[in-house]
Amino acid sequence: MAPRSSTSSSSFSRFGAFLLRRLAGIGLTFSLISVLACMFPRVSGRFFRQPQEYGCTTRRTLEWSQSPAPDLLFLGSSTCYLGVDPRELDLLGLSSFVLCSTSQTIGQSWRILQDIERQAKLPRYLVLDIYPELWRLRGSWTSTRDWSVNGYYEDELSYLSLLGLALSDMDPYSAVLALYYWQFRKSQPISHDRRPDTTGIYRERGFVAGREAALSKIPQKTPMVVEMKDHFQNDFKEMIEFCERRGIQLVILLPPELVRTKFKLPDFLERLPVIDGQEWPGSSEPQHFYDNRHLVESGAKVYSTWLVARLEQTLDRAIRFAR
Amino acid sequence: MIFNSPEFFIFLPVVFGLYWLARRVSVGLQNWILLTASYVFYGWWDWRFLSLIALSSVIDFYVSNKICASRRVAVRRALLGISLLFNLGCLAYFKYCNFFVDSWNDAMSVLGLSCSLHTLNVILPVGISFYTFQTLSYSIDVYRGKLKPASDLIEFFTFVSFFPQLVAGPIERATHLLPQIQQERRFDYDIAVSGVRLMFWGMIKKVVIGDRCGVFASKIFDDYSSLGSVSLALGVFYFAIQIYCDFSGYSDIAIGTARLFGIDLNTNFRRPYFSKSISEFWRRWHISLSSWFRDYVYIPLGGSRCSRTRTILNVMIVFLLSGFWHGASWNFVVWGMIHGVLFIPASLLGKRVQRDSAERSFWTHGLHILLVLRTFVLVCFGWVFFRCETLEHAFSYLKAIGEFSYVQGNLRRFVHSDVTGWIIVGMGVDLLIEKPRLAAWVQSCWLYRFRILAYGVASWSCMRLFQNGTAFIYFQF
Repeated sequence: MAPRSSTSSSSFSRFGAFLLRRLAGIGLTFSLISVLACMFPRVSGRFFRQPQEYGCTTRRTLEWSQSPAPDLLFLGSSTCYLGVDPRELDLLGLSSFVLCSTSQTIGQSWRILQDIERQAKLPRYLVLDIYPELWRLRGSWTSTRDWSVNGYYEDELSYLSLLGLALSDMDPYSAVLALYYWQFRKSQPISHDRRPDTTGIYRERGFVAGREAALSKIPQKTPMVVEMKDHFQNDFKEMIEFCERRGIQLVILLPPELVRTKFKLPDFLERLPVIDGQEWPGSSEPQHFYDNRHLVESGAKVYSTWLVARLEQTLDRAIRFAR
Repeated sequence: MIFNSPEFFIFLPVVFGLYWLARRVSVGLQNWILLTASYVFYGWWDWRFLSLIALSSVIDFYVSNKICASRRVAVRRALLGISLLFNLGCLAYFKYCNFFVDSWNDAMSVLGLSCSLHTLNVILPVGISFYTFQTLSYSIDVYRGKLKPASDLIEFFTFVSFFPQLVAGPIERATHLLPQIQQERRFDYDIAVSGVRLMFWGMIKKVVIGDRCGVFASKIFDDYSSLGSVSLALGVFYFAIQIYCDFSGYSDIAIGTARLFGIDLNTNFRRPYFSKSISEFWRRWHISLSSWFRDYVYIPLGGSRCSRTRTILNVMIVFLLSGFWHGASWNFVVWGMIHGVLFIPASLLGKRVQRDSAERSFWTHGLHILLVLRTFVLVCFGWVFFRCETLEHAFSYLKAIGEFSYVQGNLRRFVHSDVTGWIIVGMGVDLLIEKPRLAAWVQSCWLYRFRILAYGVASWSCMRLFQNGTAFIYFQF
């Protein structure tokens, strides 16, 4: 039973005051935690996400900040940074970079592209890796948090972009992380003294070589059936329009999977060139993968070689958006 | 929409504001606002299934009024039959149809006959078991003459679809909820504050404790063949904590939200893991469902006021139905059966056992702790069948626990100081509610004055671990 009490006309104002008191108390505690975290690394590690090497975002962003604008840029999730080796793509005669992060969704790739424009590093060709299982999410907070905590940025405006990204995903903790690391990095420069990644080694230009043991058989898995959420479709349309206006050739890349996710590409993507990784002969060979969708280094090498040929054909007949 | 989604934190203040502003106009307008909010809340998931709730509400509204108006027993029975047929028919179609088809096909293949049926491509509407049981109890109560039917369609629609408890309970009785919807509601400071506190604690239970235990439970249950017995037992423990925190967390948020609207919902959980016996467990766990089965199945079947064999049969029927209510799978049936078997001794010797244990509790707390542990272990045994996807999986899991194997290094993967700490906090809070004298002592400590810091740290953890709309386990039922 709910507790009984007499009703008074001032109940609402008392209730409002109660909520304000509680919010102020919680706000004060948050401030205290932030101050203590800036002073003591252990507190920082406990309350804020600890910097780590998983996905090698630090090394990737460091290299990105020191590199000129590439000809060919890859945006997407871990399927891309573990699968596409830019060293193999040199055969194309184009400079390339893989600017991806774990569980990076289409919406996040779109916002990162906007930040890349601000950095004046827009590429000539953009390959967007869209892993279908991520289409069913409302948003992926893993990626935003990874960029905030582990990313290296030469200017502070990138943190502002990350703050916008967190707010658009309605993720208050990512927003707090972006704000905190924005301030924290002023006094504590980024270092590599952090928990090492046991799943991969950073090579160069964004590529991570998968270190896990390769599979010996195709995993038993019921294929997931997914549809692209409306907000991702909207982000996608905006991204296409953006590329059209800036004369960037956009190519869609569907990563290979041992057990393929069932999906249907939205109709508006029909006019774009699509490379389907499932057409790669190695997509049904478990020795190239360490799980259903992530490639080991040798698998990435074979896949990237195949991708060179497909990109050569695709970029030639890709729709020229420049008007 | 679900409670742990950002939309809900916008939705709730808006509805709250409009609802209490409408109080100046009329109760009718408040009900309209509640009804619209409830349909928005449900339609956020899939608006197409709103028609099912609306149809169910319309049928039960008119049928119940006709039952009340009719004096002929045969007519009343026939009308009740219509209500039962429609509600149970919907449940059977959406929830159990494919189960029966699969079971039929399995049986035919065992017999070597080729007479297979095709399964249907249907989506299970969220919360169908909850609102169906709520409307069923309404029709039955009207038929029994325990309740006057609602005369206002909007009031009845609001009763059926009241959003805090629509998708996962507590399953409210019309005798309790409907009069509150019909009466004028007043905003009460103490009740609203208690509601906010309950919501806060429910959110902590769900997001900080339940979801995190769920991560470990999933890892262990999915990869059980490579793990040792201790890790597997830990997996069951994590699932026991997960399901309790998930479901009781939902109930707390639902009850707390309803209090903000001046409506009192029934208690659904009373610290069930402190039970000293299975019968006590069922008086503390999912109370709204167990009392539903007691009032509408067990007692009409004769309850315990009949022969010993008949009592056993009645208990088994109730528990098998309860298992089947949870899901269309043999696992749930076996889970219900296990609880039925464990419940039978208590139902036959219930009063004596209770008296004996009461006498013992007077001279030793140690025995109580042992009884609580024994009940917890028995409940955990049942959870294995509840959690596993197939009976084969459950038996293999139990067999692997029974092998008493040890795999070095695995335990470290599944014991996390944060999670352990929060489980202890959760158990501590439950203990304080269970033992008011202990709670009074804690409140008298000087440290209690700084409780706002605890609120702050808890809010921080909640924000940090808040997963965008991780569904509640009981949504699937």
